[in-house]
Amino acid sequence: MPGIFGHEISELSKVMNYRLFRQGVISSNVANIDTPGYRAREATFEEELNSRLRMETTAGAHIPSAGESGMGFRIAEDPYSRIGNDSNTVDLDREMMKLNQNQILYTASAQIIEQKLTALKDAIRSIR
Amino acid sequence: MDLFTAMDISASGMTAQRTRMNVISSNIANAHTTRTDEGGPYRRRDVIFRENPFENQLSAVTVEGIVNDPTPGKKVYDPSSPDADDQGYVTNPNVNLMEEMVNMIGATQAFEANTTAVKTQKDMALKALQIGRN
Repeated sequence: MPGIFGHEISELSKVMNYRLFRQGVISSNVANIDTPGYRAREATFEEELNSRLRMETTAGAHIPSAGESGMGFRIAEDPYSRIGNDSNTVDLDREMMKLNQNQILYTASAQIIEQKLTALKDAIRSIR
Repeated sequence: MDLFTAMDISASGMTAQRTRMNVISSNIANAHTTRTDEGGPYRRRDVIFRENPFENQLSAVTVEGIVNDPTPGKKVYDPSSPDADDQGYVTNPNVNLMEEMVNMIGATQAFEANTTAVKTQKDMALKALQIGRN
């Protein structure tokens, strides 16, 4: 049973964890932009997403889905990267785009958590 | 994976690119040096980057070494030079200024990309610290 904070905060903090991890992956791609033979990587969220898409239990006899793993993401080669002259597959423009996207989505998650907490505080204040 | 892992990785990229920039500067500065401690003209140098495994399959970058470029330097006929050989030819350093300039632009861009990454990470960390502040 979710408490006063509901599901959102715990799930959004997982999203933020993933974004932080993805930031590390993008940073390592950018740092290795001139390393011969380096292959661009991407953090995939598939497993986490799949576990989220499983059905909820509606009756006590139902078997709960196996999701709720901590770090459900893994690293794979970036399938959209192109290969350069030195067999390095880092595409700087693409990495910078991902960097910004990732930051925006991280900020969005943080903002939703912030708003949720503000709403809770407002509710508490109006009781007093 | 903590808040600063990504910053450490970007910092390693900045260090590597700065080393590359220093080597390029040394090549440009010595583009006409005909005497060295090892004897003969200056030899162009190049950095070798290597992937450096960090935690959780993330990789930083490290400069594995600085190597000499083995291509022979251009010979110029100048019998009046004190460095001229028996036939009157002077061997110049194998530095190509155009090539160094192109490398310099590449290094600058890569350095900037790493600084942008650091700035993004800083903004993200500050945003996380803002949660629950007001």
